[in-house]
Amino acid sequence: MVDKSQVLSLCRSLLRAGRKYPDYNIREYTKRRTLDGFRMNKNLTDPSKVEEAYAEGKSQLEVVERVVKVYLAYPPKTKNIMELKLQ
Amino acid sequence: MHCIRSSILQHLRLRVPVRPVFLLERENVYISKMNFTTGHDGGQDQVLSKVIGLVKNEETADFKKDLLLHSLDRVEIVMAIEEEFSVEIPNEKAGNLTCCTDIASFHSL
Repeated sequence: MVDKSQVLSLCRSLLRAGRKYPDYNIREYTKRRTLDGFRMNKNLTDPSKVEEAYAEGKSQLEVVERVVKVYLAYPPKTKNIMELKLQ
Repeated sequence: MHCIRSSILQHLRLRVPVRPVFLLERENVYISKMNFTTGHDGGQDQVLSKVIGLVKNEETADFKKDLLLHSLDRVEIVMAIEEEFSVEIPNEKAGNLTCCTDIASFHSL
């Protein structure tokens, strides 16, 4: 049975893993998507559905961690304009 | 109370002060207040100060009871603060954060 603290730590791990991407777009996307995903399933009560959603989140975490390594091997050459400070 | 919550979250996500832009001047039609999202660093400071300003003197405003922020929102806030101040807040301690002063105590500033 998955409890609340596990769900929250999964969310946190996903957000932390997503921060490592060198590409601004993907970084923002992972953040947006995890929060949206968790928020969508916030009100689930059926334990099997909760387990299902938790397992999906865990597999996505593995995907993120794997893909981060690939992206870190080929970082972008220029900074994305969205990352520049406002003058 | 609900509008406080949504405005805090809105500031966390939009991350930028709203600047009015006048586009169409034909027939006295003005389109104002376009929101631009800009880069990380500069905006976040203002966001944080706005968040604190929103909560104003209520540094001890409990996230859950007073501001109606549930745990997922708290995770989001803690993440934003971690990024802003480049500190790592370990998972166990993050569960205990209940108000702004708790979060501020993690800073070495």
